[in-house]
Amino acid sequence: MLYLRAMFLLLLLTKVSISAEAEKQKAVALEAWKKLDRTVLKSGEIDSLIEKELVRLGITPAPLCSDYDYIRRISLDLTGKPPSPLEIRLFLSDKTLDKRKKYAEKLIESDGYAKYWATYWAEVIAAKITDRRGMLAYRPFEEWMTEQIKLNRGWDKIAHDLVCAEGQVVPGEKGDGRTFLMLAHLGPDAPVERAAEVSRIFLGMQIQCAQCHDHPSDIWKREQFHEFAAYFARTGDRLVPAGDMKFGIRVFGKFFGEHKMPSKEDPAKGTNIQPKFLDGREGPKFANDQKRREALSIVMVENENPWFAASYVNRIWSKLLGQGFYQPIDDIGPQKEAVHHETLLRLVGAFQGSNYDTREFLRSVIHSNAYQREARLGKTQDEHLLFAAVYPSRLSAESLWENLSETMEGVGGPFARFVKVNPLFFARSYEGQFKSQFKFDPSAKPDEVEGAVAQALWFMNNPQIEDKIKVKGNNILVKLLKENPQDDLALKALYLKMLAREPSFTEQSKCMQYIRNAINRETAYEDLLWALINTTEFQSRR
Amino acid sequence: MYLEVGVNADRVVSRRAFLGAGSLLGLGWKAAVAREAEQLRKQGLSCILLFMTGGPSQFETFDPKPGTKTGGPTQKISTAVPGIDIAEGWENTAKMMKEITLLRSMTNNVAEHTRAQYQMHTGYLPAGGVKFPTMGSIASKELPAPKGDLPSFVAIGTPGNTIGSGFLGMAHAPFVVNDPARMPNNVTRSLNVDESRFQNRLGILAELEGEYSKKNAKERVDDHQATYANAARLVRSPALEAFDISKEKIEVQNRYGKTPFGNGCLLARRLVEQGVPFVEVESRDWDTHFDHFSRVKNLNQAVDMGFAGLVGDLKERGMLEKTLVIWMGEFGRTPIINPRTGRDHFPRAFSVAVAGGGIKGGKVIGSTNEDGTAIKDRPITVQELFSSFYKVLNINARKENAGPLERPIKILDSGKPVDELFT
Repeated sequence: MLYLRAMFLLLLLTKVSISAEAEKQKAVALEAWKKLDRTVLKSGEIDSLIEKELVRLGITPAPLCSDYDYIRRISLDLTGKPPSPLEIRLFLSDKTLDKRKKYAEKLIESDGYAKYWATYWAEVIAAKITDRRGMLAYRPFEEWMTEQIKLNRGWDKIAHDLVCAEGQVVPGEKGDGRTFLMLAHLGPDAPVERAAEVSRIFLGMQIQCAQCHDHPSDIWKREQFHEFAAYFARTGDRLVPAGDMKFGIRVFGKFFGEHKMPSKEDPAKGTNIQPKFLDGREGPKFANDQKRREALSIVMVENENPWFAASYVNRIWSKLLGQGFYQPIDDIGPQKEAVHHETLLRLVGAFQGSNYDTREFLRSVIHSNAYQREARLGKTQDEHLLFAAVYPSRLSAESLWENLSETMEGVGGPFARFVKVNPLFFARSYEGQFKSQFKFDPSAKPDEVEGAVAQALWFMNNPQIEDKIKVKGNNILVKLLKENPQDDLALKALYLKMLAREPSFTEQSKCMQYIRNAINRETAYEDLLWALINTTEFQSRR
Repeated sequence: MYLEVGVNADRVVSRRAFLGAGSLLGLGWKAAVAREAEQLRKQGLSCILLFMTGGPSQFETFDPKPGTKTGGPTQKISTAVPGIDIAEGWENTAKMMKEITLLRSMTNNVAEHTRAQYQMHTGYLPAGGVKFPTMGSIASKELPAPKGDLPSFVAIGTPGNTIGSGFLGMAHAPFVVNDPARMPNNVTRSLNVDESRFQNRLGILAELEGEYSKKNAKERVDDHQATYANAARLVRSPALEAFDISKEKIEVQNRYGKTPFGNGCLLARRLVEQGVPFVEVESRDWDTHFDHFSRVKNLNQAVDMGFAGLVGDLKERGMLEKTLVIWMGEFGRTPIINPRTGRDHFPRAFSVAVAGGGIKGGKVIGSTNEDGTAIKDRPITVQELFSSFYKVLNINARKENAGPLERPIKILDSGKPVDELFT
């Protein structure tokens, strides 16, 4: 008995000393955030930092990926579209040393890049919308954001415009896209939701748990959340009549109103709260709406607050490499532990130093070896690869749609794209239904995104897809089979078109075997095409 | 007794649930056995939710106020239960009143469609941080799965298409049927793909997946293939026939009215018969801000036939005891008739109708005042309503599921069941 008690005490003591050690490390890590190196960062420095850490951890990084993998990855990542067979051939025949860099640069300058990433951000906001009427601002936001990305405006400027937006979206008018983040949440609870979303998207922190009680696993106190919400205390929204029983919505500054932190005993009662930033810096007291939101958009992007930069860095890095320094990507913060902490600090410093130049940051990542490594999963789907390899995330609904319609040369009939103008028609269109079937929250951890039977059925049996598979009319197989009477060449062309690579020796022989056993050549190729679009690979990054 | 014990996502009995079960030991042996028997009887329950999107008027459905200014021209009719009158246009439903219980004192404060629809599907108001699952997804997770590869949650007419399974994930997402008169999208193979060709395709697909699988993505490919195996099983399953309402006798089809909504109700019955635990059928266009009375007449006609047909058919087949049928919308409509002969949104006092699942019918719970502007007695909140549904379905409403960031989230965070439903 005594022995047991002694053991217990010993255990307790070790535990205490371990946690003291952890506390010390945490303090050191926190201190590092105050001494960021803000000089320009080159891809080579990222690689040496990452490789240093991998050596320390005793992990051998995966080799760099092939040109086939690279061109498919960079095209899907930057524009959402797969490369065409012609683009692949040109890229492969290019023998210059910096061809990857050149190809990526071309994509960054393209309209497709701005458009694809604008949609990405629209989806980030739409995923947490609490009032569907706010979707009126979706398309205007997409257009506005495309412009901002084309102009390469700083992330701080974009954040400012979204946080401070005043304006309206009305059916039949050119809406003000900046209003989307504010209009995604309407009504009396909106200050709280807007605060939670601004914090999640721009600071990477989910402080909303502290709305009702002190955060269970973080430092946030209930009062801090409500002080943050008070920045939005006078942000109002209202309906704008647009004739014919239609309404638009408007976000504007109210002349009065204070945020109330509801009393725990009686939620109907509450205490008036004035704005204060998460790090304790005071906000403007009893000020009007614009002053409050302007103050937030300034204090948020100051260098003293590294989380604004860290949130962007972590999110985009995670999208490009498949895994983030922190996971999930919108749950970061001083109490959370990051992998490759030193690399993260350096990226954050450089992003701040560049005045939040998103392209400069993007370039430093995609030109690194870390981004160009082969893709693989760990032993389990959720194992962190620690950037020793790229994680093969599932394609977003947008890029899966592009991948399908580019490789099959149009699916869903000639009007599939025409309906995009009107969001209401769009939801019922082929493309709209496809996207809603395959949609997932872009902030979700890639290994948590699941497939569904209804999705499998779509690729398996959908009549519009089956119609494009057939050897008839202008369908892709007609031309492909005519141009390639020899099966080995036809197979190469098919693989290049669908998966942007050549078939391996085994794949080639399996397909040849299949063709030999089939009733006729056409049927065999239809089946092979069907099989290729149904593979895991077709629906993933590589 | 296991039904009393809360089991979390990892099939691990939680401590709190264990304490709950322990307290049961305080019951006498006989009482415990009786209780267990009742629970066993409750297993295999299903739910059919008839959702009136847009907000149906209580005045023109189950709480008419003829002779008052707010009641408009709508007359009342008597029902199979003396003393219970409902609005004209519901003659078929009136005949079924012995099976139906009316809740005339629903009260809420959300007057905007999407928020109220969300709340009347999940029991929660929308919040940015958590995507709450719709009741069908909860049922899919908590109730036994159907035999024969059918989905656990079928939504007919794309209801709640923006709500879905939330943090419960794709496994509990609704299987959507757009048009109940046709087979669901993508479950039928093209004419040019017969069984042997289908098999060939699946075969070569599995072979070609090998290369990608070898590249260290084995687990992903295995998942993908497992989903495909499920999809292929569904495509080949004889149980799919449940989706084909033309297999019903013409008299049965007629009884449901042969409208899109009636067809949906008939399909719901066929699916429940095969053990599908939750089916939702949507009726749209109840948002009658103008020309209210003429529009409601048409809507009533289809829903009266469908609802009464469903309840009657379930009763005759002996399925009503095990099937909870719910009729509701996101809110009611204003007592004041606006200048365009319309009624606007009114969450303060509205009606819900329920039948089956062991609930004794022929009853009215709660009431509104003379002109329907306020609740007179027994106000019922959304949480109390949902709490009652979960009690009928024998789902522990206080059970916690793992939400985002592993935060435990109760199926329902507050509200006691409406006792009058269970006496």
